[in-house]
Amino acid sequence: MAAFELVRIDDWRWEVPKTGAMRVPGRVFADEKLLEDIRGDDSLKQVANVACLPGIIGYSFAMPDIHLGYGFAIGGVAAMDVDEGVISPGGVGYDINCGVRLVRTALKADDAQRRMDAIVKALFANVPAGVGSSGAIKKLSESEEKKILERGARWAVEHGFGTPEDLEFTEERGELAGGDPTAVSQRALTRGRDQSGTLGSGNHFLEISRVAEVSDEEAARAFGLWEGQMVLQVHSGSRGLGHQVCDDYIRVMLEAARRYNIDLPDRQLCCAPIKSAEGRRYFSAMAAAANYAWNNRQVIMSLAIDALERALAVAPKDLDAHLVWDVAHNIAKFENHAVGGRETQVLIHRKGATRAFGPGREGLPERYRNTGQPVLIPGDMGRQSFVCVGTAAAEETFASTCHGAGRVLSRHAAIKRASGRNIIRELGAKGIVVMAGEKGTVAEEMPEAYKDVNIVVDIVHRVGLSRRVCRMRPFGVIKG
Amino acid sequence: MSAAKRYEELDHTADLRLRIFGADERELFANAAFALFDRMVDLASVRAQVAHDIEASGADIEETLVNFLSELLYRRETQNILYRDCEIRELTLQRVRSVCMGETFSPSRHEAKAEIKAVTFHDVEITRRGGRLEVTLTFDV
Repeated sequence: MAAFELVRIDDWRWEVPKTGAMRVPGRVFADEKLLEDIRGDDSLKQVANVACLPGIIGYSFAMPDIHLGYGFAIGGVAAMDVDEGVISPGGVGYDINCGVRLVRTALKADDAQRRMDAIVKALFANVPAGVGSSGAIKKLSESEEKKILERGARWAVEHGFGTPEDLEFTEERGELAGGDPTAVSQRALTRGRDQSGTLGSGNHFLEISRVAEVSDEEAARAFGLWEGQMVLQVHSGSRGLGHQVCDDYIRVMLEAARRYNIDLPDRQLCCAPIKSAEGRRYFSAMAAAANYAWNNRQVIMSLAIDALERALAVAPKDLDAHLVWDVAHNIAKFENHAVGGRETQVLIHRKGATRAFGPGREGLPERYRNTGQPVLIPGDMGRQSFVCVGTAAAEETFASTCHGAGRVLSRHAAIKRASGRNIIRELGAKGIVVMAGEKGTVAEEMPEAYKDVNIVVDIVHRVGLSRRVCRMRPFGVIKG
Repeated sequence: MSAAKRYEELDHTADLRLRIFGADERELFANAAFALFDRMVDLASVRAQVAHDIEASGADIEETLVNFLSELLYRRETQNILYRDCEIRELTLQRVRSVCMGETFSPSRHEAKAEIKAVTFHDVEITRRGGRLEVTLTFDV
């Protein structure tokens, strides 16, 4: 491993000094203990590589859950000057607009817990999960699929999946402007055709949890959350369509980088100027894939709510399910931020990082205007997840914060560690009912494979990039 | 096929990283295709029932390799085909032509191991070590 020289700024801020081709320094948020983990892989080298990209402003940021990715590290944030800067598919990732949504209900977790087996079975039956999962809704024609790429979650609502109110509580209203289906290849359309409303595999999940502890009453009230409440979390993305868009445009950008003479420290960082034909076209395709993902989570939520109503034999008005918020944690967006004291539009890449708009920010629904936006930070399936709230102080990172726990064990190591054990039974003994699309997923995703998300959330809370609102404990989980 | 090790798994926390070996470029390509499917399914259960011509190209040999594997993955996802063996018929720095043998995935006969979602270009470089070629590939899983 490269022994990276780090300069300590304070207890939680560290700087990767500007050397070689770096245009800006790197900035890492971590305490000493976390930093030890971070130094264990090459992710700091990736932070330094991103700092070499043309037009990067301020710092190449690393959130406390940073870990080794390809090209960009996971947990990386980079804001680009719109005129001088580049856009990179590697700065978004393969699962474009992978994200999380949180749904609140009027039910007490205690009342639901008794029927958890039935609930998990109903969810599993209604929301296809696992490798190549498909067929959640009727197979789409190409023209319908293209409408999803333009309209995002609005398509789902127009087709009876959820209500218009849901759009108000989705980042970008579930519809990133500029999504253009003509920028998306036939291959990507083919891969996405029958995957709408499916969870997929890997770390994607549906989780029924209990609000276990409220630490910020005022924000919790605004978000409609209370101790003992049953809530639902959805984690999924743009499925095969997003992967194909990334794949297609990495090829375009390899060529573009050569044409525009951009020196790449790693091919996976290939990119083009934001205003070039290639840059614009990638943004249009990426926005289309982001819209596919928002539609996907909207459909999944609707299918999951149906399953809950059936399994619990409750009327919709008694379940009273409402979307609290939906975040995108793999995305590039144009946003306005203060740069050198002036409000400036930048292109921000968040790869494994969450937007954290504070109070008063434009683009937030009335209900959250005074508190800031909900920030959803899922943990592993055995311990806990957090709801935080965005802050004004998050402007330090262009309003970005962490996105999850981050793995400590490779999938291979996790499977080895799980060998001879029955993880589903172990979790069952803790009162957590788990069903999975693939046998191997539960071992790969077992709680020990992840850092305790509390450690990560603690850093962003202390630094002020977002504030803790409540802690949730899982009791029913569907894994891909 | 040589008796030497065709690939090995390297430690990587978030993704899948494999080091592929080959006596020459052709064998390296064939072994990379083998490794890809060997990670996804128990290949002993896969029969050679169909043979498909598969081609790919790239600006250099590394890009050609990644594009070749991506093509195989695309077929896996959209046509549900598992390939147990790829014979490299023609290989230049910028183009590969192969015949790949396998069959359609059947959940009753094939045990799926892990999903591989994409082949990345991260630090891809074919090098020669101890008379053999090797390349490290990182996959999105």
